[in-house]
Amino acid sequence: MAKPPITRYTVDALVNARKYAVRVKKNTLESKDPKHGELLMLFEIRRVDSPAVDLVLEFRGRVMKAALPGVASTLYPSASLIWYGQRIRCLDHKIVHDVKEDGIVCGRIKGWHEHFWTDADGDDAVRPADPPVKNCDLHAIIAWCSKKWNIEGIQERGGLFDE
Amino acid sequence: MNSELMNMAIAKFFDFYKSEVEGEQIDENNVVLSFPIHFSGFHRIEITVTQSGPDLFIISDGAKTLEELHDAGYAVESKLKKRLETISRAAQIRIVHEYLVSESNAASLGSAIQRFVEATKTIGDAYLVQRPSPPKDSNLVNQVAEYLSSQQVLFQIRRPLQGKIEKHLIDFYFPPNGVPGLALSVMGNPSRMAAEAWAFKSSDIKMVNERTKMGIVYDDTEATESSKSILVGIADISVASSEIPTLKNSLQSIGILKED
Repeated sequence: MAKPPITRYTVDALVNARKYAVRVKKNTLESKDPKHGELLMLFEIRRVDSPAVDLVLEFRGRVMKAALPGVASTLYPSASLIWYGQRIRCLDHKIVHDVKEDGIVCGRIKGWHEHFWTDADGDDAVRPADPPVKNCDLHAIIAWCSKKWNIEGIQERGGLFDE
Repeated sequence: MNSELMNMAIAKFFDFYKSEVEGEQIDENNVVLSFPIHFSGFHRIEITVTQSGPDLFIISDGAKTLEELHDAGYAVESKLKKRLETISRAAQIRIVHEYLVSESNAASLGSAIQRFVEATKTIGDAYLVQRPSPPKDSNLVNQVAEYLSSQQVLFQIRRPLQGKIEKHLIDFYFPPNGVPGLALSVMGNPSRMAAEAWAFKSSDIKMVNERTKMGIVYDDTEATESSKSILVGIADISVASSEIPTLKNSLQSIGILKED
């Protein structure tokens, strides 16, 4: 499939379309010594109406493994949707994230926020997580993203319990 | 008047900084601070300050700096980690697993935080600032291949050629056959370092292939004067990418192409 232009329109259309997880590409959640200290789940995603077409679309959920004894872990999980290697959606947590519009900082968001793709700012564009994120574990984050980004079958494929 | 301006500027800066630095208390011994200083991925620098003794504080980055590097597509392997350790060591920071970590007492906590943030930002600047990828050789290689084909020149592609010291890969090779041979390389990003490396390759090949001439086609929109002078000075034939048709004259001059 030819690489489509990544614009806000094409990205929104892709996110709004009904999709499903075809297969698990990587799962290191049970790993005791994960590479880069990262526990990761990676899925290949396709559209429900075109299951034979490889969209080069991946869903990635991850969390860093805490490793410093005596220091409180501030490691929150995050999840992202990656199209042709480009992050087009992401849910993550920061104490504060500056909001950028057309390259200009115009506000701040605290805590959980969603990165979305715009033509001017790429994936730097952020908005507060809506609905608010209630639980901070990786399974809850994956469930939030599955619902928000219209992806079915991630919990089933990944052997995760439905939240 | 001048000192008033200075005081006002400093006061305004501190006011801004005070309003922009955010903190979150994790528990009674841990706090996370967020600074209005960004990685190139536009994430703020966040650090954790942990009180682990009456006069002992641990500053750490929550593994976020290496995470940013990872997100930016860098493979954080041992070589890069060693480089990061060298940068960090100057600011008395260690890398423990994936964390940048520093220790301080209460008296020097302020300067230690400043130093830590600065080192984190340095790593971000060194590795995260987006750089345009150097132009690929492939387009220029294709142009040269098309031109040589149009001239009905027989050549071998990507052929290894033994030098005195080591083996080198040549983009286009014309074996000596009654006329001198030619090892023609294509350079799409002729930095000085690339030109020097090619000069070594050239002299190494010539030491054991006396009848082989060395040729170069380079991208003249990317070449610096110093790299150009190395390439033109060393090569038996050198052609700029904007003048590929002159390759015909060069090939004629060494007998690979017959005169019209």
